[in-house]
Amino acid sequence: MQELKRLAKRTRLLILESLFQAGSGHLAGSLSLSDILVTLYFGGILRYLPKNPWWERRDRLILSPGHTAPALYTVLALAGFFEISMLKSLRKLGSPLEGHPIARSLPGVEATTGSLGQGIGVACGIAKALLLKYPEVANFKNPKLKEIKSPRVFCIISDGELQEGSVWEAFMFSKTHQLNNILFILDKNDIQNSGYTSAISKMEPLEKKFMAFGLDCRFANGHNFESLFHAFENIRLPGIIIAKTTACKGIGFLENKYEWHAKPLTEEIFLKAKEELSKAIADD
Amino acid sequence: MTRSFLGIENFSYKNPREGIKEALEILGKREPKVVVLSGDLANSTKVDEFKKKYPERYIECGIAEQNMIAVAAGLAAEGFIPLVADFAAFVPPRCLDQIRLQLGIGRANVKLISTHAGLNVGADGASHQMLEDIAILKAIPGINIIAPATASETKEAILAAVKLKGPFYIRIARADLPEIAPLDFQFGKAKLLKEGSEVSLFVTGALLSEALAATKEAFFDLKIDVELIHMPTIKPLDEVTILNSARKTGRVLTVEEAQASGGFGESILTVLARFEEKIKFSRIAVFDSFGTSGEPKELWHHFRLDKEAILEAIEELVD
Repeated sequence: MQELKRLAKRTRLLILESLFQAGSGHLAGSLSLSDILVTLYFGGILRYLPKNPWWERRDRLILSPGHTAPALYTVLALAGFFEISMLKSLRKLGSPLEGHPIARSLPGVEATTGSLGQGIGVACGIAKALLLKYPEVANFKNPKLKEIKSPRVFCIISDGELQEGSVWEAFMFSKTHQLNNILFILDKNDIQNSGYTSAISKMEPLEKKFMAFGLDCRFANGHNFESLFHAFENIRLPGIIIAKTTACKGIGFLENKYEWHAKPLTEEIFLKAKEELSKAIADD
Repeated sequence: MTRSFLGIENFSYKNPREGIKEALEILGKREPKVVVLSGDLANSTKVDEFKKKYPERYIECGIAEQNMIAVAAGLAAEGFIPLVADFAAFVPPRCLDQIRLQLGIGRANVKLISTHAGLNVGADGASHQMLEDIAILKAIPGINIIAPATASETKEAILAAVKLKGPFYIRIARADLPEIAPLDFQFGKAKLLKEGSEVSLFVTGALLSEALAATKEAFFDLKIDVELIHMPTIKPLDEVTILNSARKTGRVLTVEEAQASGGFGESILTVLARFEEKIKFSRIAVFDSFGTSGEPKELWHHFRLDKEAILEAIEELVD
């Protein structure tokens, strides 16, 4: 657990640095998501081989909110999919670290996302394909994650993107086609570009909605590893973990402010934020 | 004297969607990676036989086309070859975002088999008569666009699209069409149907029969020697054939059952403008209007896409 905490702090600092070097990008969501990705990649949840990134039996992780790519790129680099030094090329001409991910442009990047909502449908298509490839999965009824030995699909969703209608088309598809190899993880940071998600669209009660759409639903604190592990341990598939998170997590003076969804970092803000994240690392 | 260029005077009529059925009979047996998706239109798109025979490879997506395209991209990511069979009216316009991101930027190996393209949909009216699909999809880099003219060409186009890697859009008419043969479909290649010296007539899709009839009448009655070139592949264009013919005749007429704006004719005009200055150009298409209910032949006449309209355009060009 100590190691996870250390990695989580390092991830945050690398995200901040790459976004500052890029001169643009989405800080708030990248930082709200980072602990979830750290748990998945370094907490023994995901099955993957960084040196054999397209290993057929790997789990597939689809990042539907493509704007949080800096979090994914950072965790993939730390996991050994590519050099950490590549993070400096984020959003630069000629770099495979596009502003929003493109499928297979980099080892570990499974899907093309960036227009919100699409990743959920793509994830459902991948899950359906895996059911065709590994038909034995159909024998399980609402299995837990670890019961599925064949590849599983993990799809990250942001709360703002639930406003897209096609997301709900995809949930209907997941129930109709009994995709018992897919897990959705909702990064519920309650912010989006122009305000607080809960104010912009009245989406609650989400748990009831998800359950009505045939998904098992669990809650977790998206910044607490024990809480996330507990949810991953108990969720049944197809299911969704509602992870309550904090926008700009780790940078106290920016936390929970929707204005930081996509605002470029000034040098002053960057240095102040870096100091806080560096201090957290030094405190270990 | 026989009034035939292709050896046969009267072609039998066949529904082009039969070509989908025939292609799937082959692909069902031969290509296990092919899966078929539809949005509640398996019967109308003639994929229902495949659905019956290979239920595990038919994926019903319901009336949720946007998700269907995303699902198809996911299946393609895993090595399947998804054929999405649906109406043209519901795919390029409604799913443009998914097509652009997944098939365009993401290069998902998805084949869009869109039926009911053009005015020939008939009585269902403007909402169902897709005329903007070529313009919409031509703008997306990397999407290959084919408009077959007959059932057998539809079959060949689907088989070719499955064999080749990359996203395809195949636009298929609803009405029965003369089974003009042989067309010898080759992806990306134009087919010279009749050599001529005065006008180059480039036609794509369902209007081939009207263009052929007009070419014959021009030749036998008006003594105008039209070069008839059938162009099922709209993107990428067979530029060499276009230029060679245009340079020879100096006059170009394009024929398509789609909006003029952004259409097949516009693509050809762009090629001509780039390489040739002094070519007379005219086109048969729908000019900035929607369709309406009616019989296919009536609509072709009303919107000036039929043999008479093509003949008039030919006469004007040589005038």
